[in-house]
Amino acid sequence: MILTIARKEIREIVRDGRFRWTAALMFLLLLTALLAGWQRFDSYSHERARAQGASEFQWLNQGDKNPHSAAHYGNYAFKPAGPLSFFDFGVESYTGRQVFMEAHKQNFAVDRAVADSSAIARFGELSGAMILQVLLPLFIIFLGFTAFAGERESGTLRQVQSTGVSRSQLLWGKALGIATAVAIVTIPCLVVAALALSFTAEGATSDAYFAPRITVLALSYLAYAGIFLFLTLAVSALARTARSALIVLVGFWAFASFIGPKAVTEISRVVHPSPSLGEFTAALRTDQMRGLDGVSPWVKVEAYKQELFAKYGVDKVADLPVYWPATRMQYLENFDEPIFDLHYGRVAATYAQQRRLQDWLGIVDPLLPLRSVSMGLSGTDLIHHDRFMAAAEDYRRNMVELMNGYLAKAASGLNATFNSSNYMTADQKVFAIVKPFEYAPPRLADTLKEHGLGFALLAVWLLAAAVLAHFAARRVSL
Amino acid sequence: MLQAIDLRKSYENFEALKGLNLEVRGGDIYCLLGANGAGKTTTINLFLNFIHPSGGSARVNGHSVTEEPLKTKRYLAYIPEQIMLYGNLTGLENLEYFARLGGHDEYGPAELRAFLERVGLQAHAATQRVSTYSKGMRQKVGIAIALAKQARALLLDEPTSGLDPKASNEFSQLLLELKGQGVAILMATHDLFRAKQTGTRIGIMREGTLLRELGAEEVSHADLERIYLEHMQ
Amino acid sequence: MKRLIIAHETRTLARTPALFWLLALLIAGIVFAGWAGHRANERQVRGAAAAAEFEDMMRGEMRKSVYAYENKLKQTGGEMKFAAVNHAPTEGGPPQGVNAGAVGAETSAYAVLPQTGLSAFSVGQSDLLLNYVPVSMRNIMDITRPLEIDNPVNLVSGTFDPAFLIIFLLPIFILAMTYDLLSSEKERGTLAMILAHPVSLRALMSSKLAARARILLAVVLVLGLGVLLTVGSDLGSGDTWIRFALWIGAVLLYSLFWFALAVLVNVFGKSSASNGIVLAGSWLVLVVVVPTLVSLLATTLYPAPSRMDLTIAMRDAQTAAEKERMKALDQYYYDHLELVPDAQNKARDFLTLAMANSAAIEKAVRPLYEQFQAQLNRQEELVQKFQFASPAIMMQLSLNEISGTSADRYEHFMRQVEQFHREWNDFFAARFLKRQPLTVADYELFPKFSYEEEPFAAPLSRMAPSLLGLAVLVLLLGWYGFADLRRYQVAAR
Repeated sequence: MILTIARKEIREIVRDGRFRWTAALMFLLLLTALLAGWQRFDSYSHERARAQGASEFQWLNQGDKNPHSAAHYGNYAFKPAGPLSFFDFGVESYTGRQVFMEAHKQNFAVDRAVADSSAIARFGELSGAMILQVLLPLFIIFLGFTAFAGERESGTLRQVQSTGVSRSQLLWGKALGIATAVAIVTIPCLVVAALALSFTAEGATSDAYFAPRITVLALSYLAYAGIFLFLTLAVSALARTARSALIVLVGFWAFASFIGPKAVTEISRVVHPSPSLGEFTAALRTDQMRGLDGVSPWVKVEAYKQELFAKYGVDKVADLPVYWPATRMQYLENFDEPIFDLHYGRVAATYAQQRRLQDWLGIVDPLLPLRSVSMGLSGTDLIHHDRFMAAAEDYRRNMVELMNGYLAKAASGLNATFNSSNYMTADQKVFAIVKPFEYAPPRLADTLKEHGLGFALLAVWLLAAAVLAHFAARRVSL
Repeated sequence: MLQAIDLRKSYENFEALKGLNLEVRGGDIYCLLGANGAGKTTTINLFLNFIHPSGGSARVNGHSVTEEPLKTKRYLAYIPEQIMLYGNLTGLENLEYFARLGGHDEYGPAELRAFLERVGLQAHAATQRVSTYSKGMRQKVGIAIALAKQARALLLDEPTSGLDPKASNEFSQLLLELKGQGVAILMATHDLFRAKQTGTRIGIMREGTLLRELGAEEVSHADLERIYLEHMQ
Repeated sequence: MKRLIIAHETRTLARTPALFWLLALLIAGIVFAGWAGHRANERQVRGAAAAAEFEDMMRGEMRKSVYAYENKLKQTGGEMKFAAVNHAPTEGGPPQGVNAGAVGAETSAYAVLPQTGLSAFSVGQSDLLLNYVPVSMRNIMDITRPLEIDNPVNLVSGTFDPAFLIIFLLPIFILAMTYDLLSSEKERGTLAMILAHPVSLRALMSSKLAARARILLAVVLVLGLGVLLTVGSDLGSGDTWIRFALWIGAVLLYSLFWFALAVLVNVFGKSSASNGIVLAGSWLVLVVVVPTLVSLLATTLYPAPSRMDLTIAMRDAQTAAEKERMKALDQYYYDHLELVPDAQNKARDFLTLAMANSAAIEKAVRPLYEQFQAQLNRQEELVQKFQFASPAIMMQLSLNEISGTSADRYEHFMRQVEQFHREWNDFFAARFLKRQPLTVADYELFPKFSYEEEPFAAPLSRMAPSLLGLAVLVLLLGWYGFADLRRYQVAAR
């Protein structure tokens, strides 16, 4: 019975000229977005691999120089793109893609793609995820808003009811019919995209990485489509006319896709304000000058010197068994570290709080949890970025410490004769003790755990929409 | 007053009206009979310039409706099968709006009420929203609109279908009253009985052609039915 | 006649409860948007103030030490001496505040792009492109521009500013009020009733439009004025009011486009539900799909060279410059001027070398950077051409110009910043190279950045194509729609 109804729905939908137009548009856009996304991923991965290799080479071949100068020369961490970033760009264009790792300073990532684009980039980027998040729901609404309301207006609903079909059979039949029509349009594109991706000769694209992520991703989008499908059917059953059903549904769609994300952004900004660069820099540098406990680094470094004197039983720098300038600089590094942790950590924590709040507000807008989950699974969310930044900072601290440490030991004899014509240089062999930068993205289990709330909210929305559709279909007036 | 001269209307694949010639003078009630699709509504729509003729012309008081659509509409009033009004306005407000659209700004509330009274709408209903009205009540407002417009010609498209016999009878009385005032009335109808009762002339149409015209007095009711069925063979 | 229909339409609309909700939402939206735009502005102002305050404090400390040093010299007598750059406070000798190199390189002056009176109306890229730029002798301007920081998730979503409301939401409100302009009358059957009277379809259509436009635009314009009066700035200046007048003009044009589109769709005589689908689809295509496609087209046709390559090239240039011009020791001391043992002689060389070094890097990277800029310019040109494909793009470009948040005004600012950077360098380098100690009086002479606004004709000429494009589009659509009315079928056959 359900199949009979579904078959009739599909036949009706496919015969509608509007379906063919919108389906063709959807199909072309989705295909364009996926292929453009793939191209973007492909060229970025190559550029990135080349740049990271070059940076590594430059580090080793920077020429013989003082190890601390080498730390100043530093190294760059270029952010690798996960293969699924072809589908969902997430925050990639808005976070920097390279971090300069140098002595004394923790840096924000630079090179944000969107700053190098024209102003219309802010309209958004055409990605597979964007199409499925924004266009697909409207497509479903177009296909389904007449499901009950239209049949009631044309009077066929009475006739169908007189044949003894149960209302829930009718609901499921229609749901199945519309879902099939949607699948006809979307599935071929996704297959093409998957094929394109399998041609990518990147090592990271192993099945173990893909299979589980794609499965969860597909389930999430399925749930999202289901939410709109059931909501459409519910509103169609409850509305008095097809056109009022359409108005209500399009209104909800516009709210969910455009108003909701911006509105929750503003709300989260008010609840958890984050500092601007000016405020951040001023606060950080003030703390660096004054010390977290109000004792300036110059006072502390003097005390540290005395400590070292006591430790080695000497009374002047010249007698120290470690090279004082290097030891001193490492001491200052260690002095700055908690200050960096505090300020950068505070910013990251604020962003995380904002993200949490936005996730929770997904209770009024199903796009929010989906967006969050989709970025997470595609490896393009803020959590991935934070982890990359943390890895870069760990690398920086280790690099500086290795260089200062080497200098402190190797140049210990220079304490007495420290002057402009007597200095210590190191070569490639020394620089090589700093291993190349590597970054391991979070494991899937961690991502799933981080986005537990998003999955739960999607499930709640789906359940609520299905229940609503069920009751609406049972109460549908003829 | 109303004149159709070789009036034609064709669509891509069929002819709805094949050269209609017809004249309705002031004081006439001309009843058009015919099955669904005979071209009755097409004729009325052509007089209203709602659709464009493919040939010939429709004239109101000597003016072509396609050349002077606004002028000819001054003389016309139209009552469709279903009088449609603005549901969230009251009967009185609807009447006022349409009267003023017809160019009659001069009526005060008392006069407008008088029109509604004259067509038999209960006094308290006048200030209720039309969405609460029955079909008969809406039809009465429609007639009041026609009265207020002081139209010289009335176009009626199955005006009594769906009305109960009493309302239908009251409606006929009003038509006779208007006829007395010299209004030309063209009415498409399926109701042979009313056509015979109120009409002065009767035309029988089939597939876009006017097959026969006769005076209402010339035939008895039984004859009319017989003639009608003959033509429908 | 038209007045009668307008009055009637207004009365019917007033009795539609949905309209009240619609207007209430619109009003709430505008108020919220004005507030959000204002908050975005405030954040920038706070950032600029905090940054400037910190740098002033730093220089103030230096000035204080110079003042104390001068006073001491007055009592003890003696010449003012030049000082080594030294991070740590030293006892007795000249403070580092007298060293022009230290002051010019260790502290920054902030060049601030002032906001216009209407900057809260369109945030544009100003949440990304820093409008308070630090200028010191250390940084190479122009190639590495600092960007404002914010939660990237928020940046993706963007600000709920009045520009968003006008570009994205106002059309939805307009279409909600007009999608069934004729179709509803036809479906209700009142269209035949009306047209049986001496009323032309054209008069009916234009009156119905006027009734709706009157309500909607009154709300938008009055609230727009309200937003300006509450969160706008420079209300006393004529510039603000000219900008506001332009804003009104742009909003009117943009609104008219959507009204005209609704007329056109209604003229085809399809059902209300059909009109709803077509108009919702058009909105999606024009406001969302076309802008993203144009953006994609721009980056596909003219891909910007990778910034990563730029970084690598800069570092290659740096290594080359270092190897050529400096010995490793010099490099070491360059990074740590405070450690230079024989500061009086050495320091000068290091700073000279550092400046030469920067110049070498800049020179080496310049071609690549220019190639980079050229591609971005080509992208920008492409957007300028393709803007006519979407009224939303034309509107966004216009609103950014009107609010002073356009990319071009920012470039105008950055050119002045570069000029100021040279001025700043010259001021300190001259004194440093002459080993001339800075006096307290010199502190008053430090170059100060003052932004010179571009002549108003500049933004006007930049937004003219957009506004003209909109106007042409409105005329075309309106003319076509009203011309097509003649073919409108009042009665189904």
